[in-house]
Formats: sequence, structure tokens, C-alpha cells
Amino acid sequence: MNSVESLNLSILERGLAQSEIVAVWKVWRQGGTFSDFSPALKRRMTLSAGYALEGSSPALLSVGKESFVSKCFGSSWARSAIVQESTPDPELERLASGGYHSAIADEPSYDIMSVICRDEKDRRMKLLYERLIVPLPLADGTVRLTGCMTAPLVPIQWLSGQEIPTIRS
Amino acid sequence: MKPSNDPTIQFILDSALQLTREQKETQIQLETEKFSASAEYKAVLESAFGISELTDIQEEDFNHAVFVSWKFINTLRRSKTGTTI
Repeated sequence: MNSVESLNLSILERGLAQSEIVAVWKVWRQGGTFSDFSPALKRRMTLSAGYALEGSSPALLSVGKESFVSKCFGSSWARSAIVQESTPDPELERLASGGYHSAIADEPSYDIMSVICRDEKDRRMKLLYERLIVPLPLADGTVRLTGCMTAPLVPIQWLSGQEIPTIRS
Repeated sequence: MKPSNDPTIQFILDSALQLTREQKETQIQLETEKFSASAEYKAVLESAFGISELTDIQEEDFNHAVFVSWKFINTLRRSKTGTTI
């Protein structure tokens, strides 16, 4: 069963999340913009637009080559992300949208997502990961984008056709 | 109005056909600087081409890079106004 569990941001203040999530939080809390993140963090983040339709995630602009989403959907998909604008799974996009809408409204969002989703080749995978989405104003402050860091809690579990009904039930 | 008579579309088409590579690069650089979005733009190019400078994009990828660049600029413009249309 797919789910999103929102978590209290105080967990981040106490440093109890995974290290890359905490690292993004610390930079962001100090008023950091995208250019303030280290190259290593940028390579693991995604950038998206600062607007989206209700129930939709904002259009993707960039996918860090070492990001978790790139590992899930592949480097070929990641390179075309700005053209495709979204992951290959509409259900994941819908489920993921809530956190983005918080960030669009200028509130950071920290949650745990548990999902079964599919890649471009329709291969199914089970994912469990932490996710932090922050509003990211550009340096001049007039435009806001959204930045996302995801960190897997368990390795990607690729599913065969027989496993899916069992897991979903 | 026919799309072919739309002055905005005509301007885009003329720009694509008449401007040199250097002029296109300058135009895009000016737009991204207008938004102070150089770091974000580098990330976009890095994501799509593995290269963070438009001037370093190979000739065969340049038209695609121009498309990606204007898509990014257009997203910034829309993010500024908050419109989703």
C-alpha cells in the first residue's frame, strides 16, 4: 500500500534524519539558496518549478546524477527530465505532490514515502525513503523554485509480477 | 489569428533561424542573469547534458540545449508570476 507519512521538522533540528537530509536542512535553515549547497549535495538533489496544478507535482528541471530518483528511474530518464517534466509513474507524482505544494507555499516538507512504482520499461519497484522538500528562492529573491533531497531507508526492491499483489495486500 | 501570423511566434522563429550560436548563447545568458539563476541553470545543463556551460555543448546537441535553456527560462518566468497556464 502506497503511503506518505509527514514527519515533524524538529527531527531535522535534532539531526535524527539521514545525513544528506540533515545537510540540506542545515544549509536551507541558514537562508541558503541553491548555490550555497555543496557540489556533492547538488548531485543528489532535484530542482523543480515553483508552481504546480492541484494534485500534481511541479515540473522537474534538473535531476542530480547521484540522486536516488536517478537510481530508481535510470540515467537516461534523468537526462530527459526537463523535457518529460515528471517521473514515469503518474500515481507516484500524485502521491508526491503534497510535499511540493507545501514548499510552493513556502513551508518545507519532511516525510517518509513508501511506494510501489514503475519505471519507463514498466518494471515495478518497491521504495521506502525519506524526503525533504524546501522552497528555494533564487539569489535575487523574486522567484522561488523547489528543491528535493531523497534518501533511501532500504535498497530499491525490484518486484516480479507475482510479488506485487502479495505486497499490496 | 493563425499561429504563423502571431508576432511572438514569428519572433521566436526568426531568432532561431537568423541568430548565430554566439548570439543565442548571449541571449540565454542575459535571461538567466536577469533572474540571478546561474547556479540553477548550470544544474539544468549538467542534468541534461553532463556539462554545465552552454558554450561547452557540442554542436550536434546545441539546438536541444537551446530548447532546454528556454524551457528553464520560461519556468522561471512562470514561477515569478505564479501562473500554471
